[in-house]
Amino acid sequence: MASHMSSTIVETSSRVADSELDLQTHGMRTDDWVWPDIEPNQWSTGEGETTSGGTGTPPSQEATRTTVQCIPRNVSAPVRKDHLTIRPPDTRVKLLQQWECVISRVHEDFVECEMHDLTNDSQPVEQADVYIDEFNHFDRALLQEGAVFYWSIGHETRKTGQVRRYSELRVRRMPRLSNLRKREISRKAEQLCELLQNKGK
Amino acid sequence: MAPRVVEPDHESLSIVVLGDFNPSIFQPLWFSANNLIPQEEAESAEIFLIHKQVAVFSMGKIQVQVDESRLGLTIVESSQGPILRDLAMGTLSILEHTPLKAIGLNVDTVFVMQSEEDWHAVGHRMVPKQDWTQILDSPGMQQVVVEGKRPDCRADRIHIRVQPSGNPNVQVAINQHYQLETKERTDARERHREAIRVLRDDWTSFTSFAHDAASKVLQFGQHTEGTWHHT
Repeated sequence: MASHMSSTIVETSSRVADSELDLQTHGMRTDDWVWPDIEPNQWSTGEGETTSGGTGTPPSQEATRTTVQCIPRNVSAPVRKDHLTIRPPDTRVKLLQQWECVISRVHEDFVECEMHDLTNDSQPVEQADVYIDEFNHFDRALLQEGAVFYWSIGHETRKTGQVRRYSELRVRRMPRLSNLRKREISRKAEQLCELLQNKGK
Repeated sequence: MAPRVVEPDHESLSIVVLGDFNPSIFQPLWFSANNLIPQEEAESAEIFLIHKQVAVFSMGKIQVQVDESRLGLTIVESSQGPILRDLAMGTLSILEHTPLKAIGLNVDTVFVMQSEEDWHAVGHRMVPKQDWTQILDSPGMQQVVVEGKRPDCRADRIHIRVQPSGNPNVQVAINQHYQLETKERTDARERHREAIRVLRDDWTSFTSFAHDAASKVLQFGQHTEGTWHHT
């Protein structure tokens, strides 16, 4: 049982948790350390230096030279990967409801949308008008017919204990399609068209 | 006594992909240049470390951790779940030539128990102490991991891990794992398609399952009073 657990537990699990358990006496592998990059001009050479121009030598080239050991200066201490854990939130949001909204029409100062409940998918689709002023400035350029945004409402509790209503609108972002992908989609669309036309005959 | 049910104190959601990554390309501006996050968020990103072996930074409410074999995207606010899923889908769409090996969906929830007694009760329910007291003094549960599957789910396995997270907190971490690299799926593009399918089709049902499961884990024994002893 123990070996079964240890062989499978790591893979795609999150590393969030990691309370004191992980800080105990588990062995540390050498690849658990990350050394920050060192720029060439951050290396200084000691007495006996044969290079000129003040350019230092990174350690990988050190073996091929006859100079004394290079000493890094102004270099940060190594970082252990385990220390790069997820930080806890400053505020806590209790989500009450969330919708995925599809914009059906854009007006001058509001958008019409269809709202699909993500917290309870048995709820019927609803229609709503949302003022453009409610959106983040950086999302407004993305508001167009067919665009999707998420609307979340709940309660936000700060560390001080202060509670306030929470409402957030975020527009969905997807990468631009590559030319290859566009061609693939066009080809598939053509194939579907042909299929439908043949069925209609 | 069975532990009393409590509301989750906080949770984090993450998507972890195993494969061959180049951490140094993962920078906030790479994400905004590819239209995955707003430029404003990229410019105000908090960079912890960007190195050829590992990159760690946060953009908006999303935290990114990448090393040469692992890409992890995490949020610590459940309202950001859809944004996290979209970001992972977008990132993998761009990295269509990156060999992928596995993908995992994760929800980690921390519950603050009402009392130390309730906190102990969870451990006693998971790991009854009668047998252990014959071997150890003051045995205590450090971690329990249970593996299983879900009906109508194509994931290879689910892991539910329960562990103390400081007194009186209990953490329930749920991982739904998909092996992308299999004997049948040798084509890299096929693995990509499967990873995208997982994110598109399974994310929402996974988060619902995980929320239910985490609460149920703490309710074990709620209706059947236990016979174990407090250590």
